[in-house]
Amino acid sequence: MVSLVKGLALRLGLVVFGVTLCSFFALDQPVLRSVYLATAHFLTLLTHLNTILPSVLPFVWAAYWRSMLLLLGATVLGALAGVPLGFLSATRPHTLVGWLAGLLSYLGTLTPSFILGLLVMVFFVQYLGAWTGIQWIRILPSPGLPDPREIIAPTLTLAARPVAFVAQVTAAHVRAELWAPYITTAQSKGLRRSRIVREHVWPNVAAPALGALRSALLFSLSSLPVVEYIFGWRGVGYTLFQAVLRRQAVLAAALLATLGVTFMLLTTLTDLISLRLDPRAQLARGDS
Amino acid sequence: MPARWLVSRPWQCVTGCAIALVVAHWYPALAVAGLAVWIGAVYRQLLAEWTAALRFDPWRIVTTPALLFGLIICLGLLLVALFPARFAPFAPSYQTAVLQTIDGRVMAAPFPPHAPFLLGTDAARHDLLSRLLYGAGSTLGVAVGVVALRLTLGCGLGWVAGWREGRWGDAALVATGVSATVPALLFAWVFIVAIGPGSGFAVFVLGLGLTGWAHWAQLVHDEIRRLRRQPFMEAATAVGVPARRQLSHYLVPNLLPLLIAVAAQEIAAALLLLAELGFLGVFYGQGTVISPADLDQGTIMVQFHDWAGMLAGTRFEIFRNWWLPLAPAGAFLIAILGFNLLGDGLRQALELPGRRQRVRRGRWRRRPFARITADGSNP
Repeated sequence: MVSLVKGLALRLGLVVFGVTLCSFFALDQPVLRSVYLATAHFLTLLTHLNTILPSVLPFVWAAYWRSMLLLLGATVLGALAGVPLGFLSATRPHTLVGWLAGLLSYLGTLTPSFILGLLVMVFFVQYLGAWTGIQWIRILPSPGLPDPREIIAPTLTLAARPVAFVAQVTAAHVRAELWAPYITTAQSKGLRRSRIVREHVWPNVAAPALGALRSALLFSLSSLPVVEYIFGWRGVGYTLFQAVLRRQAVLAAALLATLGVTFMLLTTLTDLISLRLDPRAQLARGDS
Repeated sequence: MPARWLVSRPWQCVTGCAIALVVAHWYPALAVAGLAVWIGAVYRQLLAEWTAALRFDPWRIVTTPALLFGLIICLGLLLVALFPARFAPFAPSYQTAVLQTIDGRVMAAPFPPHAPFLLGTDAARHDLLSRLLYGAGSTLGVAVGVVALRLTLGCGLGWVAGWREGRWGDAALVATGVSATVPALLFAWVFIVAIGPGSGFAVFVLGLGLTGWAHWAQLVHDEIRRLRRQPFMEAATAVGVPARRQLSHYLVPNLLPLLIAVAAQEIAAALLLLAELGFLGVFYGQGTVISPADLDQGTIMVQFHDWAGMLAGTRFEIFRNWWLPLAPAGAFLIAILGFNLLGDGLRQALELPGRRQRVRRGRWRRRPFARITADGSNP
């Protein structure tokens, strides 16, 4: 545990330092000039940190919690919808339901976020909006607190990849586990199907599914600018998009560092949970 | 062998190089073909070993639907990318009439899909299908370049991590771990915007290829570690086969099928990134970065033909002129699907790990949780 915390602190420090330094590189300059300018700007930032940070932090925080709201929704949906979809695809092969579940997860991993975002936008504006008479999507960025209705469409778009990827990985592992001898033994002993899935298959599939959720979250984090741009959601991605184009290096550095730290924390959290879920990993860690 | 020639026949080598340079200047394609033949002749035994590792029953192409469909799509894309003029109904710069009557209504550009413009036209009255066919070459070219860089970085560091134990191996593993945590799209976007997309092909290849190679490195590292424990590798080490020969004659033939299958899927991943970058206004062939305000104005008109460029500024067009975003998005989707199917199919045909479990004929209908009979079979 102590080594884990030490490693995490070291990696966090490296990410924050590296990202901040890199953000000041003006790559369109000649190399030596670029290195000189980056170092000079970085040192200026360090010496004036107490005056610069308070001016940037409110923007970072305002963007950060909005993005985290979307990511949290995507994670929850990924776990709640992806795992059942994977089980459905693996336990009911050669049926229409299983085939559809497999197809959905395959298409979900292939479709770029912007295509999905555009289709979701059309559905919410032209069909759901016209039917319910409610404005579900705000095309222009809205100031202040977002309406809860506005969260649904970007969350659904961002959740597509986690749902599909978790479903694919879960299905592959369930498929492998279902033909293992211990399942046949459990079935021969007369255990019910639901109990076999819950008590025998699930504990062996939980750790890989969590790993898939972590990988998919990195992809979702990367797609934030696209999804937030489509739905006019003023999160980290949208603010970063504006900051980079306006050459606001300090704001861009702070946003990138925040994203890096978030991903590091997520990775460590999932590592800890997977250690808890899979006793074999715990054993291997102890051995090493 | 070439180094030995240089020492034993210096004048012949110098004359040969001079002739090769002259040929390369006037006929570059001939020079490339000559170089390929020369490399093939010198390393024919090694190449024969490598191709033998890739050999599989051609009947598998027909019996593996993923491989068949993937091959059809990818070969089609290759043909279109190489010979766009043969397939495109119009030249990409051809502009149709300003006003047209479609379905009894007089309309101004952009025109919706109708004969002879099967995918419609853009606001400058260019045929979208022709632009897509002419843009295939540059889009796929960038994707292939990105994969080549990722392959080089990933395989190189994976080899260092798997083959060399100690400080270098650890350093390569740390670099792989750090690279795995960098979001590829964000890095590529910030990198290309900082340098400026006007710098061309190299900046796109670097921006997209400097990240996303971590899984290659991990794959090569794991495979090398696995192969080194095999009896044939231990025997080779015991009889004193040098490390270089072990790499070229023992490791590469075993790694090659896996790498080719993953490379096909990697092209799909690069295309996906290119599409998303294009949607954000960063694409190959554009000199400057497009601001969000310009993006919201509508489709960005560029002279260069590129699928990603055709997506720029189409955020609101989905409500007005749906064919403007959906035509290039469809092209991307077909290409991504094709390369993914090709990778999946190659995995299955070459019987690599990670493929779906092959089920013998006659047991296709075997289902989990079916009734177990007295003789233990599972109908």
